[in-house]
Amino acid sequence: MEARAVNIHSDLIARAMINDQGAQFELYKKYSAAMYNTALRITKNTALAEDVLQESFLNAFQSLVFYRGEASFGSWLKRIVINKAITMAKKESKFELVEDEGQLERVEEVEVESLYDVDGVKQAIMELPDGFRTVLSLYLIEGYDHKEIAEIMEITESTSKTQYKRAKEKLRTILKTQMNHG
Amino acid sequence: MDNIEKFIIENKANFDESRDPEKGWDQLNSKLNLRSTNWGVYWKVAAVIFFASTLVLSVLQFQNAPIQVQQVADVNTLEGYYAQQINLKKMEYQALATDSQTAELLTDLEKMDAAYTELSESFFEVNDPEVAEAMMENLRLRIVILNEQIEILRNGADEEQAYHSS
Repeated sequence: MEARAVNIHSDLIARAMINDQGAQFELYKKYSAAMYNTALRITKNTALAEDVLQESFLNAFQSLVFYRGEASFGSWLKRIVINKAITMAKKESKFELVEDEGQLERVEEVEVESLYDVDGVKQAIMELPDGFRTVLSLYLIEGYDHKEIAEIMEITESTSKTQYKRAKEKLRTILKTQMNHG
Repeated sequence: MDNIEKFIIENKANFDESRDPEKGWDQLNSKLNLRSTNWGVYWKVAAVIFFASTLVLSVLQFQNAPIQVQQVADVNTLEGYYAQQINLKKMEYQALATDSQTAELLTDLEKMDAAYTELSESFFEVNDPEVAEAMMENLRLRIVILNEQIEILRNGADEEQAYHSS
């Protein structure tokens, strides 16, 4: 028997499939904020993230019939958003998925976790180069593993791991600079 | 796991910007409506094609319209996807329904299948995208019907369970 994800919105999904506007609106309200943030972390551009959101929901509602229920609706939608965000960011600007930052400075880990604050770390993530920011966000915030990130970004699993390691180094450097100036 | 990883994972809910969940809906809705209107047109076309199919097919016997392979391939791909969905849904329905309920639903689906066969024969002759769309709508509608019927049976089972446990 095929494994199926438990879908808490199965009724909404069935109604959205037959173009029930009320159901589509409910699904939009439930997922738009989270999906917008996922898109924003990749594109780093609010207007582009809004476009990604529009295109992704349009695409999702049009292809709901392909949704097989193997993953939750949110996971399925998130993959659409991420793919769309990467494609649209690449079209819009020089968006590099694999970064070559040369030799990065080895920065010591902050020993006391409480020294970090959300706003500071959030800002530091947004300062990362595109590829580093994408791989780090996908791994730590969106919860994908390196195998999945490799598929999404069309890179090898080992490149994903290397990029992630380097992204963390870069993040520590930015945070250290922040702390020195703060 | 180092401290920065731990910090981000533990606080990830706070990394989202706040946003009005309804923002952007109006724009999306107008795009969706535009699409629904197009579907409405396709449905009318599908109905006309279905009822006139006998006439169309007899006319086609005297024509030799070329088939664009790319489009046939697209239809075949989509047909495969939908057929897989329909089979999964049928199995799901059968697991919940009585034999007579299953027989009744399968009869209805067979009627739709007959309509589909007529459309597909027409499509492979003329390769008209509107006919292809009508074929796809036929398959989608079967999935919608199955989903609705599955939902009805599930709700019925839940109510029965609630009644017995009360």
